[in-house]
Amino acid sequence: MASTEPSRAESSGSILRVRDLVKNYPIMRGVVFKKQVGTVSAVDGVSFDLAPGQTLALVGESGCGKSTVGRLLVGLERPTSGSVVVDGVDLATLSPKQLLEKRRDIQIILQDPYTSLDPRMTVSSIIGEPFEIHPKSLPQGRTKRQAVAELMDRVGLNPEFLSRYPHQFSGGQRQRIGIARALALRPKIIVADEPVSALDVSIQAQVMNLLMDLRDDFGLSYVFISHDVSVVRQIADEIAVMYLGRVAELGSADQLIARPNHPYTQALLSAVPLPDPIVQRTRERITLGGDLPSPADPPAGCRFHTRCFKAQAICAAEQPVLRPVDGAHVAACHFPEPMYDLAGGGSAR
Amino acid sequence: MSESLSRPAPAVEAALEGGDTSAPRSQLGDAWHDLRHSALFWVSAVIIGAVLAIAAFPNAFADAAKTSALTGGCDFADFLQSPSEAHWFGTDQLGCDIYSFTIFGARPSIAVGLIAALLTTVLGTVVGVISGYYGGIVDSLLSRLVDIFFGLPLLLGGIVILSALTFPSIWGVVFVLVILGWVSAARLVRGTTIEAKNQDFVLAARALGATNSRIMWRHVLPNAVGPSIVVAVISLGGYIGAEATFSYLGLGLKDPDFSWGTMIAAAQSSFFQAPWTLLFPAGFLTVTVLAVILMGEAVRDGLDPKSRA
Amino acid sequence: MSSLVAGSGSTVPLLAVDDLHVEFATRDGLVRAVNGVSFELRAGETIAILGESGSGKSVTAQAIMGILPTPPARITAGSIRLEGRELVGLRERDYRGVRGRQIAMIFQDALSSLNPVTCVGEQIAEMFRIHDGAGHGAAKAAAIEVMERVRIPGAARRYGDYPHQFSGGMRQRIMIAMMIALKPQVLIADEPTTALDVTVQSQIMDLLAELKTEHNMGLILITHDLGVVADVAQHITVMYAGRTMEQGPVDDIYSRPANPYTRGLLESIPNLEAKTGRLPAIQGLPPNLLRIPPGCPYNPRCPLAQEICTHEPAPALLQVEGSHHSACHFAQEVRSYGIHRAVQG
Repeated sequence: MASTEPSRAESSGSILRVRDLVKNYPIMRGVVFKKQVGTVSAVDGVSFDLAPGQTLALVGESGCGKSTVGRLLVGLERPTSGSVVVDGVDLATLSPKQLLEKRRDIQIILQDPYTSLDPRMTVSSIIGEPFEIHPKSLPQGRTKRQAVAELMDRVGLNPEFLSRYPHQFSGGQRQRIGIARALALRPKIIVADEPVSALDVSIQAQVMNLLMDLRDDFGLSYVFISHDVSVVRQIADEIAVMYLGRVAELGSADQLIARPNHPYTQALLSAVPLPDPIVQRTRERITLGGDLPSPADPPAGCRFHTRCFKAQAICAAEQPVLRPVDGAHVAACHFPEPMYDLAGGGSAR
Repeated sequence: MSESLSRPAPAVEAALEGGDTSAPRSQLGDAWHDLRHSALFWVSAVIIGAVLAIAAFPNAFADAAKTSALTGGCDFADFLQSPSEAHWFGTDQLGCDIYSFTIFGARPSIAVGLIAALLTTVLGTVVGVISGYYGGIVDSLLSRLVDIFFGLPLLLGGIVILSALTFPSIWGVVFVLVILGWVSAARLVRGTTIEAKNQDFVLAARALGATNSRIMWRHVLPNAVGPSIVVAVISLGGYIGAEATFSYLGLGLKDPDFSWGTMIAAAQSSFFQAPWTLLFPAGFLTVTVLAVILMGEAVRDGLDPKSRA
Repeated sequence: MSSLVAGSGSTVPLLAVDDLHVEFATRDGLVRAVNGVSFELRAGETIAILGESGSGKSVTAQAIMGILPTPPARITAGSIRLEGRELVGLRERDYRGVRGRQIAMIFQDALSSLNPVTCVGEQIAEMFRIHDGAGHGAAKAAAIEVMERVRIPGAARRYGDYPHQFSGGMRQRIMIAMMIALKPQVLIADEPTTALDVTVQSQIMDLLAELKTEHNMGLILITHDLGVVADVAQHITVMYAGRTMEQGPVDDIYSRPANPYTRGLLESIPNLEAKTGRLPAIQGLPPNLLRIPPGCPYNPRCPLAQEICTHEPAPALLQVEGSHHSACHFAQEVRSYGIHRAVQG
C-alpha cells in the first residue's frame, strides 16, 4: 500500500503511464533574429497511471497546466522531457508512422463545441474524417456513411442530420458531434478537455451521462480535465489536483474530496459553490490571498507557498515531493493534514 | 414519488428534438440567401452578365468586319460622324463604327481582368497559405519577398517592364498585373491562414493524425480563402482599369489588337470635335469596373456572418 | 402582475420591473426574448436572476440599463421604475444621467470592457471628471480611494498600470471600482464571476456583498450558476424562454422549488458531496425563441407535463406561499415533493 510511486504503482495493468512529464515553452524576443529570453514552465514533473476502464481527473485552475498535459498525451505537443506510455508502448520510441497508428488508441474531446468543428464541413465529413485518415479503422463491411450514422445514433444525434452543418446545431449537440469524432477510431483512452464547461447547466448533465455510458459500454479510460470539482466528482475514480504545472495531491476521488490533505486542495474545495443556501452560509471557507504567480517565474520550493496559509520557511526553500498520506493517496506538502467536511454538509445529508 | 418526477432518461434521449430544423445550409448557402435580397447584387449581376455575354459572343451583337479597314468595314468618308441610325455610337477618325469596336473591344479588356484576377489569387493564395501555415523560416523568407514586391508601384513597375520586354497580345499586361498584384492576395491569405490554423478544429484534425497537407487543404484553405475571393472580385475591376491605363500609355495592346483602353487612347486627338469617340468606350469601362466592385462588396457582405442581424 | 412584492416593506421599491416585454426583429422573424418579467428590488437587497442562455436574463438587464440595441430590440410593453420614475421611453440624453450615476453594470469579460491602451487609474478617474466635473488631482485621489475600496493591493502604485498587467480577478475588481465610483443605487452584475477561477470567484462575490452593505445598494446578480448565488442573494427569479418560471426567497426555492424547471436544474447540478453516477438530467434542449412551444414553454421537456400544459396558455405566475411564486399548473404538487439530490448509496 505505502508505495511512493504515484497512484497504483507500476502495475502492468495500466493502459496509460505518465512519468515525469515536463513541458517548457521558450519566451522569444526579436523580429528577425529571435532569441530566447526566458522559459515558461507549463508542466513540471507530472506522473500518474491510468487503469483500463478507469477515469483519472486532472483538476485545477487556469494556468495549472492541466490542458497542456492533455495535449502532450495525444501528441499535439512534444514533451520537453518525461515519458508517455500508452498500452505498454513509449510514444517517444515510435517512428512518425507508428505514432500515427498509435494515435488511434488515444483521442481528445475539446472544450469549445463552437470552434472545434470545421464550419465548412458537414457533420458526416466531420465524423467521417477519422476514417479518411485511418482507412483501416472503418468497421468491416460498413461504408463510411453507415459508420458515421451509427456513431451519430450512439451519441444521441439523429442520423438524418448527416448533411447538416455545425452551425445548425446547439452547443450540446455540437459537443456530441465532437464526441462521435473522438469515438470513431475506437480509442482505448479519451482525453476530455473541459468537455462540458461551455454548456448550459441542463445540457451539462446530459453530456456527462453520455460520457459515463460510453465509458461503460466501450470500456474506455478517460483522462478528464476540468476546473469544476463537482463535475469531476461524478465521473472520476481518481483525482489529481494540479497547481502551477505540478501535481499537488492525487488520490481516489472519494478520499481526496472527503479528506483533502494539501492546503491548495482544501482551499479549492472550500471555494466550490454549493447549490444550498443554508450549507453555503455556514460552511468553513478558506480564502486564498494574492494572485497566481507567473509560470514564467514560478516560486522556488513549493510553488504554492506564496499563497499558502500554512507556509513555513522550508516551503520556500525545498520542493515537497508527493508522499503518501493514506495508502495510495499522496500529497506534495511539507505539512499535510486532513481536513474534513469541506465539501459541504458531509455526512449530515 | 420523487423518482417518478426525475425520470432519468437514457443519454440518447436528448438532442433529437429541438435545435434548428431548417434545411441543411452551408455558409455559401447562407451568403446566397442574403445576396438574393440585395438590390446592389442584382444590378451589378445584370451588368456583369451583359458584359460577359458581349465578351464571349461579340458576333451576336456586332459585325466583326466593321472593325477593320482591311475588310472594308470602315468608310473613310464617314469619319467622325455623330451617333446615328447607321452608326449607333458614331464613327472615329477612320470612319470605323465605334459600336462595333466597343463590342469587340470588350473581350480583351475582360480577358485581361479575369486572367489576372485568377492568377493573382491562385499564386497569392498558395504563397499565403504556405507562409501562414508553416510560419518560422519559410514565413520569414516569403514575407520578405512579399514586402519587396509590395514596394514596387504598380504603374511605374508596369511601365518599366512593358517598355523593356515585348509580349504577344494581352499577355504583357497580364504578366505585369500578376507579378505586381499577387502580393496583396498573399498578405491577406497569410493573415486569414494564421487565424484559421489556430482554431480548435485544426487541433482536432491534428489529434486524429491528419497530415499537414490534409490540414492545409481541407481545413485551413476553405476557411481562409473567403476574404481573398472578395478581394479578387474587387481587384478584377482594378485590373480592367489597369489594362486600359497601360493601353492608353501605348504599353498595352498593340495594333491590330484593340480594347477599350486603346480606343480611349485613340480618342485623345478627336475628343473635342467628336466626344462620342471617348464617351462610349470610357462609359463601358467605367460601368463595368463599377459593377464588378459593387459585386465584390455585395459578396463581402454576404460572406461576412458578422454583418448579419 | 403588479402584486409581486419581493421584500416586505411598504415603501416605494428602489427598482420595480413590471410585466416587461422585449422583442428582437431578426432576419428570420420576431424573437420574443422577454415575455412579462416582473420583480422588485429594495435598497440593501440582493436579488438574482437565474437562467440558461436564451432565457432572457441578460436582455432584462440591458433593458434596465437602457443599453438594448434598438433596433433590432424593442420594449413592447411593461415598465421599469427607478424610485417611482419611469425609465421605459426615457430619452437617451436623460438616460445618460441614470447610467453610471444611479444604475451601473459590470460584465463577465472585464478585459474587453476595459480600454487596453489607457491605464486603469485614468479610466476610473475619468468617471469622476466626466460625471462630477472633478479636477485632475481630485479625480486621481478619488480613483485611488475607490481602488482601495475594492481591495486592490498597492492601489496608488498600480494607478498607472494597464489592464493586461492585472490578473482576471483584479481586472474584475477594477471594473467594479469603475462602476461603484459614482455610488450608484443599483448595481447589476451580469455573470461577474463566470470567467474567473473558483478560488477567485468567492473573493469577488464577497466583495460585491460587502460593497452592497457599505453603500446600501440594490444588487442584481445575473447568472446561470445556482451555486454562486445561493448564499448571496435573498430573492431569486428563475427565467426560461423569456418568462419567469419561479420567484421567491432563496432558501424556500432551493429547498422546496415549486416549478419543475427549477427542480430539474437543482437536481442536475453535480453533487460535490457524493458520487451519484448518472445525473438526473433535464431532457431535450431549450426552445428556439423564434418557435416557442404553445402553452407552457417548458412543456416539451417537463416530466410532469399534461395536456393542460400544451393546450392552455402559459400558466401565470401565482403565489405559492408568502412571496414565493411559481408559473406552473402543478406548483403545489411540485413543491410538496421537495428536492431529491441523489446521495451515495
